[in-house]
Amino acid sequence: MMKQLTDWEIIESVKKGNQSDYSIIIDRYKNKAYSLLNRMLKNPQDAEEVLQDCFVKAYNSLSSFKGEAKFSTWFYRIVYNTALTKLASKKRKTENQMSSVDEHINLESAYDFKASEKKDFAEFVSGLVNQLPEKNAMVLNLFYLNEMSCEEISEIMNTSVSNVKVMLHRSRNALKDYILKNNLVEELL
Amino acid sequence: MNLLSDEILNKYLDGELTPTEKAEVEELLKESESDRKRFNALKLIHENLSAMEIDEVSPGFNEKVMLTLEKKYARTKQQNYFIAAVTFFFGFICIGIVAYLLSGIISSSGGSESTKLIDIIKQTGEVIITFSQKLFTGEGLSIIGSVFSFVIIIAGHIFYEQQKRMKTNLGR
Repeated sequence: MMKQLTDWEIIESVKKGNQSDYSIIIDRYKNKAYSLLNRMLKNPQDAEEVLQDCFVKAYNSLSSFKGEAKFSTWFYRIVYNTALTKLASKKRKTENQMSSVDEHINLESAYDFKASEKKDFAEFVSGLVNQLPEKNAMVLNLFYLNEMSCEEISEIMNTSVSNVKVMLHRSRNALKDYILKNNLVEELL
Repeated sequence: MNLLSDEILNKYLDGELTPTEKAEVEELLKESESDRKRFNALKLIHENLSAMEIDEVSPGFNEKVMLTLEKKYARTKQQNYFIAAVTFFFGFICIGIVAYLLSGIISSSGGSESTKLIDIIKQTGEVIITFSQKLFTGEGLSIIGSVFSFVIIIAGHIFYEQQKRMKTNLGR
């Protein structure tokens, strides 16, 4: 019955002291946020660690959440910023070196895809997404997995809508170019 | 030869073109095989991205987060109690000092124009003065000092131990 409540209603309940209701929020967002972090951090262990940190951070900041934006937008902003901090701390790349809008994307499949196995193509594409630069992977995940609009994504990533669209198109084009280069289209259609 | 740019194909796929532009694109797609091939590849990617599977966190994730929150919340509560107790203690001492000073000022100002209220304050002040004199002179003062120091040391030790324990628990 509680699961039918809106995010805002659950948060109000948590704010009133029903701490255990927060697990409903965790249930709602954990897997999608985990998928997102997994593709950004490229490491399942790091992704789970960061996700845990994000839920703790969100809980501690619940008092500052006034419901002006959707909870999902607010929460994914925490996820995105925490992931960036994690990436910076690991010194994989600095913020400036990270995928800018103009970054050239080079893809190399981790395994050979057999065109006969059509059902595995989604998994194959998912593998290619994992190879995209962090921000591009983030945009694709928010757009396709979380079914968010470019406007919402721009709010989360604190960038313009046109930048989000450019990143979305470039990511799709990179994947398209890869399958064209490997002659996978005709076999799959 | 490509008649349509990737940008237009992406916009077509996202439904961002006007009906006229859409019809034009469809017409050009019929004419150009290379554009059709590019569009089909893009459509295939679009469809499969929509079918991407969601990864799942390890079992017991909720419990781990809730446990972390409970520990953190418990620590904050204990810290708040400790801070409240210390504040109350020092507040009590400050009030005592202020009352002592106030009563001293009142008693030295003479009583010719004193009203009822001033008399009450004066009397209360005198009681506090007498009590404070007993408490803060000679043996009383050294006993109070010793008790105060002892309480501070014990409270500090308990606080330090609690912090250490909480840190260890959170690190697990």
